[in-house]
Amino acid sequence: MGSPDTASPDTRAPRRVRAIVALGVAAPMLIAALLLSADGWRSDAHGAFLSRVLFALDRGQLELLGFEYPPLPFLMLLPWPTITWALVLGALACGSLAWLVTDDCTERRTIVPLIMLVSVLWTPIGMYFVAGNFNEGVGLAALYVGWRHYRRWWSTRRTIHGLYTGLWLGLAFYTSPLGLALGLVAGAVLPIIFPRLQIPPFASQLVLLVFPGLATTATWAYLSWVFTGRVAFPFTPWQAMSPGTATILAWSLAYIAVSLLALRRANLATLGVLLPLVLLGGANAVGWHFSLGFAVLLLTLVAIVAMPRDLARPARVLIAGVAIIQAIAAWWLVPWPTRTADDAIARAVATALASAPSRSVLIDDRWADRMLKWVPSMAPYLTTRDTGFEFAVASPRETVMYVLATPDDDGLTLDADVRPPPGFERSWNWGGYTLFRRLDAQPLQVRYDAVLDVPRPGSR
Amino acid sequence: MSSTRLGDHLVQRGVITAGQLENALIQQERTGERLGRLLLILGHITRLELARALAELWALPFVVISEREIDLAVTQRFPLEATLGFRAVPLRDEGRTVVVAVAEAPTPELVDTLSVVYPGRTPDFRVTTEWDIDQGIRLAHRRKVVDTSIYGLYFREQGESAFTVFTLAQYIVFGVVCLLLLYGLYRAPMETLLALNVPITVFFLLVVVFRTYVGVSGAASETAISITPEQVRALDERKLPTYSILVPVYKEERVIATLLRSLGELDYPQDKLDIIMLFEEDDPDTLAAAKAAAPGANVRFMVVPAGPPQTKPKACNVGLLFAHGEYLVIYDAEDRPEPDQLKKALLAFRHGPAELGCVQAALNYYNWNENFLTRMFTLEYSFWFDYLLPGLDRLRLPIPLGGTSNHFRTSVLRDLGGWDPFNVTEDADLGVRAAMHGYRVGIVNSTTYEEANNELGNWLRQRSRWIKGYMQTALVYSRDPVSLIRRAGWRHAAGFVLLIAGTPLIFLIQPVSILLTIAWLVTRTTALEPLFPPVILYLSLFNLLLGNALAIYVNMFAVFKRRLHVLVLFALLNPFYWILHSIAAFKALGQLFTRPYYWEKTRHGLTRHGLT
Repeated sequence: MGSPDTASPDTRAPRRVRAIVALGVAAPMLIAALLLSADGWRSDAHGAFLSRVLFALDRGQLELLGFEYPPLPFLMLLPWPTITWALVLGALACGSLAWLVTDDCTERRTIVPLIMLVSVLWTPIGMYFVAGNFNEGVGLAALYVGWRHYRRWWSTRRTIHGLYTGLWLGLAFYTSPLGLALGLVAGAVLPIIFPRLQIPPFASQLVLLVFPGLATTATWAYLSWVFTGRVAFPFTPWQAMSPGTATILAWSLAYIAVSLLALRRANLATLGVLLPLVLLGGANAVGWHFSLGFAVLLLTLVAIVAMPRDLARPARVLIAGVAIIQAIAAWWLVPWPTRTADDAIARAVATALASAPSRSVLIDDRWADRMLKWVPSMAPYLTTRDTGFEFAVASPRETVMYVLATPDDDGLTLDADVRPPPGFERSWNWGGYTLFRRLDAQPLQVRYDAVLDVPRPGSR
Repeated sequence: MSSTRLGDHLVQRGVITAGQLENALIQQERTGERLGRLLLILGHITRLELARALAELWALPFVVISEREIDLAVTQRFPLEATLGFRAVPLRDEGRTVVVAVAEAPTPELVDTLSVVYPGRTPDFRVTTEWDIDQGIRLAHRRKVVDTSIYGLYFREQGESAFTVFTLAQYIVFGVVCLLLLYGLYRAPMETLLALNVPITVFFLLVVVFRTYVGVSGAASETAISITPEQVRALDERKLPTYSILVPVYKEERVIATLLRSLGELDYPQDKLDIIMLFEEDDPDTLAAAKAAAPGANVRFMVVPAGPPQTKPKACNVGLLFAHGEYLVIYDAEDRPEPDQLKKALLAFRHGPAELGCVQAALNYYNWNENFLTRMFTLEYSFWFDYLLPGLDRLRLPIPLGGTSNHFRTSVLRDLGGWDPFNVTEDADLGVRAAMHGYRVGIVNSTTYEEANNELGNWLRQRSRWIKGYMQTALVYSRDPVSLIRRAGWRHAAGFVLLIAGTPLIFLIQPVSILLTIAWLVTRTTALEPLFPPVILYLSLFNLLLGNALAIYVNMFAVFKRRLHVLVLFALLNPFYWILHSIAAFKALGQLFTRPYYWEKTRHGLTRHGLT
């Protein structure tokens, strides 16, 4: 975890320099992300966040978010639930990381940390990270701010930095369960790594660091119990969505280089360098999802803070070189985000249904994420989270004008993919989506031409 | 008369030795104090011997002031303010002369003033001791001293005195609100309760956010206004001003000796300390204990004339009348201030802005580890004095002073009218009044260690008094909200409402919230749903969950900063401690209507712990 920081807080880079660097790193990424969005690419994560926020806003009840975990992205999207805002938030998170890493550069009198950061961000891996899940960026920024406050707490002994450390670690929990895991581990390990702090007993410091994480967990559990009657844990069933350890390491060459340097001077700090990797492996095993960009950036930040301050110039050049080579390889091997035919179809269906009257489209939203991520409003839909859903399933003719069966629907709730509900007729069937229209309802037309220019799946 | 003449005279008379004189002159070189006072402080002479020596040197008769010596009609013609200012007591009229007792050489200004008050009379000066002067003032001006100490503030500015508990306008407002509530509950109970719940929830939220913000601001400024040991050491003791220390004591015979020892350990020239111990007439035991402790010559005993209200601020006002010091501080009987506190406070005044009228030192407890109550009390004080008050200072908001260790510029304190004897948290009231008059209150990085209450009954008595005092202060300054905002500004007014009015309100509301939560948890009733529409429900949950968690967390750091690590985990028990506050708040509310000025005495000397 690096040598002890004896620098005073005043050694930070001037605010203007940090702002320029942050803007310089984040602005190109924001532009690229906005272009991607304009071209019709939208990540599943952003789509899920948006559709749930739109739903809660339309119904006027926050608890209808259903205690989806993590909650922070929903709250951050509430003021302006659009994909543009999500992308701005992602860019802001990256800018914040650049802002913070600039301080590392100033303290170490080298630009290598910034090169390490940019060599991850300015690649397709970084693009998926920024444009794909702003929440992960916010979580990483929170963890890194917490880390920096911890260092200042250690060097200045001012309790305000300890307070901030705990609060940022607590905030990180609201972006990812990894935030809690990292917070707890940090709380347990940091006082060991920095024995010079020597504020006995050790237990009190540990309590201070882990309390916010535990308190937020307890709060989350209580809220979910109040609103849903069961305690929601930040756990999702395992799916092969997170990258494996080998893949992560393959794109973390700078981290490997710094880890090898740390192993040469093996001490307690080495534990801190290796621990995040172990955590990522563990998280993958229990189904805590994260993107490749998140994992690689986490390890890169760990490498930045763990890089010895007295590192010889050739070693620094080596690390920077490795980082740049990795960036080039990423451009070569990782495909740029591209819209798919499935997305284009789902978007066209969502656009067609947007003009339907309020609560007129019966849908099993548990199987409709691909389409719902494109909806501009959740007003037309009657979903499993609405109180009238079960009645509508039993008597659709009395309740709704349309019934939509989606390609992923298993047909257990809505058997519309088997036969039309009584009093309904098949309006259209396209790309796996089937719309049944009540006989007296207006037809809703899909613009089939909206997907004509979409490249075929697998062509990228 | 030179110092050497007095010294030589005393040596020639055999009152002191040449060696004692030399010793005193060395001290005088260091502190610049007058020789007579130095010899007194060093214990080489008595007041009587000093006064007799001065009488001989000034060629004036010596007199002992007693009731027989004083013609009250003559003495009372000389205004109390002039008597206190000149330290001169006219004794009797002898036709062509007026006999005047003095303890210091008469000045031309005194002669001029006497000629105005007693036209056609020539002053006939007699020398007496300082104690006799005080005695003479008390004999002649007893009624005026009592009136000034009780009604001084009220006659000066009725609107700032808690003598009137509720004004007519406040009665009308409360009455109308109560009637509307009752009518609403009769006609539309759920809607009325909802209308009540909305402002309460929003206010609760504002208080939570405010206290957290101020606390974090205080944590961020923890080293911003510190006085360093180097600065203290660099002080030139010859240029130190006289510092008055007021110590109001009542039924404190158990701790009086310890108190005098602590005051003796203060790192300030003893000859520049003017310590006034204030006793109540019905408490001879404490006075006897103080006499038995044989304090130094810089300690004056003053018995406060009996009469309601018998409160600490009334005693302090008496002390203020007689205080000599350029600066003044209050200590309680069980206080153990850090030795360099006076010097630090003085430096804070010197380095602070001109409008800095008061400096508050931190309070904490030496018996923090005695039992549950003392631990929780220490947690609370650590947050209050180490985070909250520095935060208020940083944000330039009114600071409610703590009960002791408030250091004043004496002139500012007099300008503010002293303490309000009808307010049972006269300290908090004074801090707010200072802000209203454009003075600032600062915080200095020094601590006074006190005895934490270790008995529940005693704790409840003390806490209910504090909360009642906050209620009184809130009522006083809410009489004219427009004037409050105009004089203090929006920020000060908002800070006042959230802290002074907010504290008792929160404690009164809290039990209702807890009971509602428990009722819902046990019964899962839907009957409460109309009272909690979505937005109010979210705010209530924020208050309940995040509000409590934040308060606990900031509190943890406050004791961590004090290196009281064992207490970090005890912060988790704060919700239980806050329930005790609510009990005290309801008791305070009852007393506000039945015994508003009643001063619930806190017993001290119950601890089994020494200073750690």
